[in-house]
Amino acid sequence: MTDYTKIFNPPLVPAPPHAPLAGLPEQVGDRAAAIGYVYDEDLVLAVNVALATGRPLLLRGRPGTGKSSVARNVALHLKRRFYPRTVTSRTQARDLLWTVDDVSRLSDATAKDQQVGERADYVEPGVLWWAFAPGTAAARRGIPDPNEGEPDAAEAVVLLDEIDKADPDVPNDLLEPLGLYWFRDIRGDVVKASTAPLIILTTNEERDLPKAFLRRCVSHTLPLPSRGKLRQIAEVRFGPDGSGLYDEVVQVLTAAEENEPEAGVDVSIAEFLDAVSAARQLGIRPGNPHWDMLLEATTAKPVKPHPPGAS
Amino acid sequence: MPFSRSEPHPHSDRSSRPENSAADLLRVAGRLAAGSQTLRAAAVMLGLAEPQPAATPSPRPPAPPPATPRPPLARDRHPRWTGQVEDTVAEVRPAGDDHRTVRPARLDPVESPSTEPPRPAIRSVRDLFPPPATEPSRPPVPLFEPAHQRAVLSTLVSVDRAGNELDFDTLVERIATRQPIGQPPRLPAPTTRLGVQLLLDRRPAMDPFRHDQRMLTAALRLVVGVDLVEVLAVRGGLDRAVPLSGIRRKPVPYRPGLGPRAILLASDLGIARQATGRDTTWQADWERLAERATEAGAPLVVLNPYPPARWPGWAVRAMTVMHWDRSADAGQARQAARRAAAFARIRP
Repeated sequence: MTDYTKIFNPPLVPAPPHAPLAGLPEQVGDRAAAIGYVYDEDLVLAVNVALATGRPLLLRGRPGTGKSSVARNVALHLKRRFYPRTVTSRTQARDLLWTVDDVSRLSDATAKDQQVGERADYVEPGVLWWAFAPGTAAARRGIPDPNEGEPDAAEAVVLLDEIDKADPDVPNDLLEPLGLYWFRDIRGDVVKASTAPLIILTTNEERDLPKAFLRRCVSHTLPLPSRGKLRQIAEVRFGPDGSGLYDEVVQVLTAAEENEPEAGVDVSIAEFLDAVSAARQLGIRPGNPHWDMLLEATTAKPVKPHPPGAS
Repeated sequence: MPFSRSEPHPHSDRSSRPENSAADLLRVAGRLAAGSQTLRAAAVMLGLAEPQPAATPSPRPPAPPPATPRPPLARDRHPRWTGQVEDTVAEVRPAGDDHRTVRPARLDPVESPSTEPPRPAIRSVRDLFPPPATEPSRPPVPLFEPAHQRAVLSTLVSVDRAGNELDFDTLVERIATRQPIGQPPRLPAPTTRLGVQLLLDRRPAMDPFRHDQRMLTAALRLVVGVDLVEVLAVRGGLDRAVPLSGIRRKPVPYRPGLGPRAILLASDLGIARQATGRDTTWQADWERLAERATEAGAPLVVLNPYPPARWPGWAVRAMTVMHWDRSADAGQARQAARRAAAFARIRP
């Protein structure tokens, strides 16, 4: 029971199994995981608060709790364009706005019979430019629209994944583009969003983010999945389970978790789904001689050996 | 972010959006037609309210108010002399050749008519000045000013490496002198991606700063990332540094990291022991550390809790020392980082 009107109102649990939608890129890996996303009310509220306030949504949580998949699924439900970008230790704030392909310009300059333009002619729009103003971005030299969501939609969702990997200054350098939805390009022209995009950032909290940055975000921490939710996610992804496979994998993973609470290992949704998927496709079930090896290969944590003779 | 001077800053008109405020909550109320429960949750997500603590399953009735403590009397604070001898007190031998055992007299408080429980006997200074365990604990305060700590540390551990911007001056020079251009030259940009090696001086003289060292370690991990901070404790000499970052806790000979990774040493450089005239051995160790850092091309900065007037001359000449104190700011950190980079002759 909610006491608000939802702008973003997905089914909390999609119908199993979720058929890949027509018109989308090939549904593999995280793309497939994003289609059958199982929400909880807190996460839906966080997305709605971010949409209502026009603030970036910062998703926290342990690795494997589904932070990165949220953005793609939100774009899917809101029928928006989608621009994902994984941040690395080398990413600078300006890379998200635009970069200059100086090497191409140099190459053009040294090639015979090649017309060389100004440096501004070699600007390549970044994900925020594409999200804010796809028209001016497309007018730039030969870079195709990296949109992975709804084509031709007016609004966009941007995923800046693992923002904590960047150098400490990067989040602060993004305060204004993410707060005001405009920036200046290399010529000094304003690139401005006509409608506010939804910016979703994720952090594994390997580094502290600047307080000024945090104070401008809507923040939500994804909880570790319960056993029931893991089973639910598997049903959404693969359909109902008649053989008890899902429960068996959940049991093994959570048993290992209980054995090592101090090691800080969590049950990752991605690992769980990998284990179930491999078992289904390879026909390996509990009791099979390869069962333990399969679990060890698909999960990062030690697994209790299956009792001999058990099925 | 390395913007060249000829280009405009992409968002140079400084009119950044203000922080989250009640206006955001009003937007939520307006656009989502939110009730009080949703508004409360939204306020937490916006950082405008603290999350509610989990409800206790069986709330206890409120405890009765404590009785008003009577003001302490002078006789309570200063026990009276009674002339009795305490058998359990350790024997005290007088100085000189007189080996007769003297038993100190016991200080025994006169019983008061108060109904308070009997006070424990005073056996040491700790009994007179007990640690403030019952006081409400205050959050620990780091030696660096908390508002500046993040900027100071990130500046100290940043190392200039080739960034994304082309170095046109070098490029033109190479073309003009017909040098081959394998890798296009890039302008240097400060980065923390190489991590930092943190050495903690764990000699007894640094015991008063043990808690500060712990806070420094935690702060560095938050700024640089847990996996990028290598922590070594140095107690028994530089050849017996104990790694505190991994599982292994055995002493190992000190080695700087590969490449120009920043090194921070939290140490008084022997000042506390020099005051007693006993410290002569550690100078060689720290000088050797400075040499190793220079050989490796790694910038070394010593964080010293004592003021610059007390820093030993040999240290100021051999390495970069920075005052580990509230007065430190990002400007001083930049100066220190520049000096350390010059010592290490860092080339991006």
